[in-house]
Amino acid sequence: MSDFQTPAQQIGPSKKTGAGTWKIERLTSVLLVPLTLWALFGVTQFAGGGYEAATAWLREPLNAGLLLLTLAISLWHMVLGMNVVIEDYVHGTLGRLLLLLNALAGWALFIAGAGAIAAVFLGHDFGV
Amino acid sequence: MSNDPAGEASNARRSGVKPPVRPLSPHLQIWRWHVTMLGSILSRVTGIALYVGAFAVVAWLVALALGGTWYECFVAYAASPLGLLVWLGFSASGFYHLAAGVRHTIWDLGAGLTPPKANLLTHLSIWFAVIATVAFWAWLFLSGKVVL
Repeated sequence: MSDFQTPAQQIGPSKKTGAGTWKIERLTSVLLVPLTLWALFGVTQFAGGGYEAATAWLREPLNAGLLLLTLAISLWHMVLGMNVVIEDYVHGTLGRLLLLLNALAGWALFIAGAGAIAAVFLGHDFGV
Repeated sequence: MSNDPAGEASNARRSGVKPPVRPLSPHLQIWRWHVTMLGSILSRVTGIALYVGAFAVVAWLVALALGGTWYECFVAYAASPLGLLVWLGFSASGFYHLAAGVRHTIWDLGAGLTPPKANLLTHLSIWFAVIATVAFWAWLFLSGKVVL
């Protein structure tokens, strides 16, 4: 049996970023429990009310702040989760490319989403 | 893909020593089906669905920021039968992924790891998703906030 055991010096905590990533996955997961439940409650507050109800809801400082937080943590959690999926199934150069695209998608969604929240909250009119 | 997580083969190549031949761990085809397997697969599938759904949520925010005309256009799609089906799937995925996350946190704390308890927690997370989704949408329709 000992032939099949990994030598002890080869196992142990990651010396790079593995443990940190693990912690962030758990931390974002736990934070998202109350945040997503709040977001669902938020949806019920403006659903069916059209543009006026949605903008009025998002102009409340608490709603804008919590939605920004929910967006940021969701995207972080989501990019880390998709990293695992990519690492599990896609290897080599294509895998690395997909990991990069995943990170870019996360940032793009954050910039677009956070910008939109800020614009609505500050009452900016794009005139389109 | 690699049967060598500790990198022994490459270590052995460098040092010129032949790596030991190790037994392969049993793969999918050898396992009896059990609910924790379904729970794990669903967790990943709903995670991917939520990833796609995030684009729709950000599109909603951008439409809201662009103004009333854009927003009405977005809502015309989002509140169409097909759009509602997408939101239904998004919310069901969210409820399941949420429950699976709580389940996973319990396991990460070292609790509920015996097979009967693990199975029970998985059944509970699936039933929570079903009941919460039905309740959420029943309430949205019955209160008249969403109409088909």
